[in-house]
Amino acid sequence: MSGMGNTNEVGAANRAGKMSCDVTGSCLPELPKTPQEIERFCAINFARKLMDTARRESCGKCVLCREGTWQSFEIIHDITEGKGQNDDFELLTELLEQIGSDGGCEMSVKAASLCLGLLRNYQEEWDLHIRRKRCANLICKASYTVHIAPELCDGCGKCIGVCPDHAILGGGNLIHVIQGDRCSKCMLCAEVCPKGAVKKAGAVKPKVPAEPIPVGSFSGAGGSSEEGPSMRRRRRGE
Amino acid sequence: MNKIRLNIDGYTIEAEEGQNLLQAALDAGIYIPHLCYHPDLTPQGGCKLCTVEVEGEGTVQSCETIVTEGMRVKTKTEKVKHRRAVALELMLASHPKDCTSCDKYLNCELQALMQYMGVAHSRLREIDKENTRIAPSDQLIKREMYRCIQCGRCVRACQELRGIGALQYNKKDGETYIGTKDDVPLSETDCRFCGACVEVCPTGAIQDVKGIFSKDSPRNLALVPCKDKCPAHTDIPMYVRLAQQGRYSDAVSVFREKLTFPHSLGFVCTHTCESGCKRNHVNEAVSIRELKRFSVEHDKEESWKKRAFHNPSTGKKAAVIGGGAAGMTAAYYLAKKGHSVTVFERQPMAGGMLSYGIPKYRLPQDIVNQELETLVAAGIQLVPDTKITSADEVLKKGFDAVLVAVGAQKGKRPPAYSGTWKNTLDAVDFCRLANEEKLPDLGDTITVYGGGNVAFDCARTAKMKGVSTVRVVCLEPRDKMLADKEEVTCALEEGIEILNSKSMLGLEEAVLDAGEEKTGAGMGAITGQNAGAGQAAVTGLRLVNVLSFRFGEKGLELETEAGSETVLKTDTLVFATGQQPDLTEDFGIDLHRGSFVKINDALGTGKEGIFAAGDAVTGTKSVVEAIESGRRAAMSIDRFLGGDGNIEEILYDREKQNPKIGTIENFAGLKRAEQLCGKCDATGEALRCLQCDLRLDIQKVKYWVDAHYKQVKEAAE
Ligand code: SF4
Ligand code: SF4
Ligand code: SF4
Ligand code: SF4
Ligand code: FES
Repeated sequence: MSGMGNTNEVGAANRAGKMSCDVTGSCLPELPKTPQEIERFCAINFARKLMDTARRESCGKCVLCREGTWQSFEIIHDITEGKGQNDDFELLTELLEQIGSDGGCEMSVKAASLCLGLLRNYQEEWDLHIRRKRCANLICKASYTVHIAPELCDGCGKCIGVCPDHAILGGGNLIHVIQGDRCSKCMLCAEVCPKGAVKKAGAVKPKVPAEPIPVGSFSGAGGSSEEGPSMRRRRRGE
Repeated sequence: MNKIRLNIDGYTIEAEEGQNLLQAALDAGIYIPHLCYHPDLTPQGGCKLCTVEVEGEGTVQSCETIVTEGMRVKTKTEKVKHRRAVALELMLASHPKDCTSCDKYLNCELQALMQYMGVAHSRLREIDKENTRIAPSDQLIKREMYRCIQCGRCVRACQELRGIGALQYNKKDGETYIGTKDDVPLSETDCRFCGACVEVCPTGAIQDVKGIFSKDSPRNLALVPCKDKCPAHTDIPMYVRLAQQGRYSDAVSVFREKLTFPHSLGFVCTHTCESGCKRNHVNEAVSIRELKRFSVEHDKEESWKKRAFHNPSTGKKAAVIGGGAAGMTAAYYLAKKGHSVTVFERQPMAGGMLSYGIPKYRLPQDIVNQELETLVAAGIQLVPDTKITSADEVLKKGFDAVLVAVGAQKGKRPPAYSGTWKNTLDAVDFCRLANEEKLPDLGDTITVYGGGNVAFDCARTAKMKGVSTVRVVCLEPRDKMLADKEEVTCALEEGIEILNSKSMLGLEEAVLDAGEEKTGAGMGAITGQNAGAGQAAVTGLRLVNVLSFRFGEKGLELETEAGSETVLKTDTLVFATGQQPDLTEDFGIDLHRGSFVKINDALGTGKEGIFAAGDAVTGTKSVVEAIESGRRAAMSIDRFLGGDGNIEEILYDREKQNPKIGTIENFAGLKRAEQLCGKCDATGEALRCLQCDLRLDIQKVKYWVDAHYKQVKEAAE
């Protein structure tokens, strides 16, 4: 994580002050510190969260802070959704540099310099997201689908209860199945599954039953999710 | 103020110490784009359009940078142009793309900046904001906040200029937007509808509701609709403000600058100012007329008298024929201009309609007399009881100029009813007789034909004289009547019947013997008609219902309801169907439309030295219009007599207004007081004024195309 962010904090402090605004940088999300956090880290997703926070906290008086952070958020958001455009990286850099140098307040300047750090230090990640619509750590939602590993599921049904989208099919002693077209990828089911059976899948999709079948009866043949919505999206994206 | 020299784009310019760089450049004729900056407001540095490069400091916002001696500035480098373009692009990302549907189109600072910088909606993502749609418009202020670019000018104007703070930056669901506390309509805030926010808003986000201001008047009048609508353009907000402060003498001075009969007007003015008053759109108009009357009645010092100008004698002589409002006003100003003025009045008293037309219950004679005295004291020779029958005759007496201001003293009836009956009267005669206490016996029933204010003067007078059945019959439906609403309301309250949408088909008449004669004794004699026993009298009116009417090429065109004929019995019939001047060709000037005087733009009659003004030219108009006409006649005649034609005077020195009007509890809800019973009422009523004139003190932002920016004003070596 070295070299990420805090490159420009001195500049931020210098610049701030003229604007009549009391928002400080302390509201911004912190970069990951523990190894576990780092393992589950996606720079692009973090950048999105960062700029989302910045635009929401903006006092609204300065165009770079109000619109600049919002515009950056929109662009990054598109990227995380797999809708990035070819020159987005350059556009973002340009915007963030201007916010960093002319932004009137500590908060916007800090957010911009943190984000610029992410752009510089994770160029490959950004490229993967923008051009190949993929997220290496399967953090950005568009990059993965969620399924229940049939060999792990014991049919306890805890997941059905928490799913806000009613995307899970199942019943007593049945292997539960997530309907891809309904799932919003909130991962609440993963949190309650005692077996750790809820999994993410990137480009390569494992075979799962199309409908709930009795526990233990999954053979791996037939009923794959080949025709699932995520497959369709992936094909179109490539 | 110390001067400082600095260099911008190679030009050496002079600035004031402490001035901001943007204003210094603008003053010197160097345009730097700017949007959130307004010369009357504290710089906020938010839009970044005024970015420039300062040697040794890099890019800065010029609006927030104070000039220093020897500063070197570049305003047009590629770098600053790019920075500005990005800032503008960012603003436009959430701004509607189509300008043509915006009422600010072609009068918009944002649009002008897009043009100047060549920036359009662009490569950036379009942003859709939710909360900018929260913007209840009020009756006076239209808010389309999706056009707002959050420059904050309105917020600062309301806070800094007015000391109110009705508008603020709001935040909801992570979005900032301009609004009121809790998003309530402005009428539920401390807003005083001063219009400052509208004035400073550079976009179409905050605008005046359409139709409040006249499109035909110049801006400085149009924005103050009471003043605009007043025929004399009296400085109403100023005197309302002075009345509010209890400075009645100063208030009187302000309207004395334009008006000659202010006290009378305080009773009878048709107050078109009040129909224009912006406060109508909030709830009800300010009681402007009442405040005028109250001020006159509480003016102890009459300070205007000390200030009024009076020029030395010019040796010229002017005659005014007719001592009504128009004639006396003209005479007054001509006397002040140093001319020797004689007014010939055919009645025993001057005042015209003020004395002989308007019923005394509406305007006591004492007040008219007092005002006449004030005018005469300026040096007018008043000759009453003198009827002039020829203008030339007057010129021959050695006058250098003559003003014909004889008024419209003769009744005008529909052509079919020009005959003579012993119990019919014209309204103008009726009113005169009433004021002279010479009305004949009117019988038990009186019918007034006509629906204007004069008709109601007659009807109400008759009612007060004890006539049991009083009817007003008119062509117009109730909601289209020509008379003021108050008149109609009062008449109904007094038990007067109003028959709307009726037209007269004819009269029923009978020849009565002297013995049977109930009414109309001597009526003919008084009205100059040849009457006597054995002459026909009207017994009733044959009426028909009118479905619609219009004044077309052939005059009045009616559509009547078949089979709706009725007969209305009456003892006396009054025609209130119009008035005309009592003039004939023998008078020696050109007439048209019957007996009205024909004039040119300078109020000349076409005959050297003879001018005309007032009702004799226009037909019956209001007192204030007669005054205004008299003023114009005075200017014209003065010019004819070799003067400069300037009769303007400043009777009260305007101080710079304090723009900080602050808040008043429940301002929008304050109710109109119809009558001012004491000082407290007057203060309260005057407080309701929106002070529309304050908005004129706010500076206008110059567009980049302004001639001011065509040449740089360099400092002298
Ligand atoms: S506010 Fe100005 S720029 Fe915006 S739509 Fe209206 S005219 Fe166009
Ligand atoms: S008080 Fe004046 S400036 Fe403030 S919101 Fe009302 S009209 Fe606008
Ligand atoms: S409403 Fe107008 S003045 Fe107020 S912030 Fe928006 S654009 Fe600026
Ligand atoms: S609110 Fe006051 S200034 Fe405005 S139109 Fe009415 S009287 Fe005149
Ligand atoms: S005008 Fe200077 S920042 Fe807006």
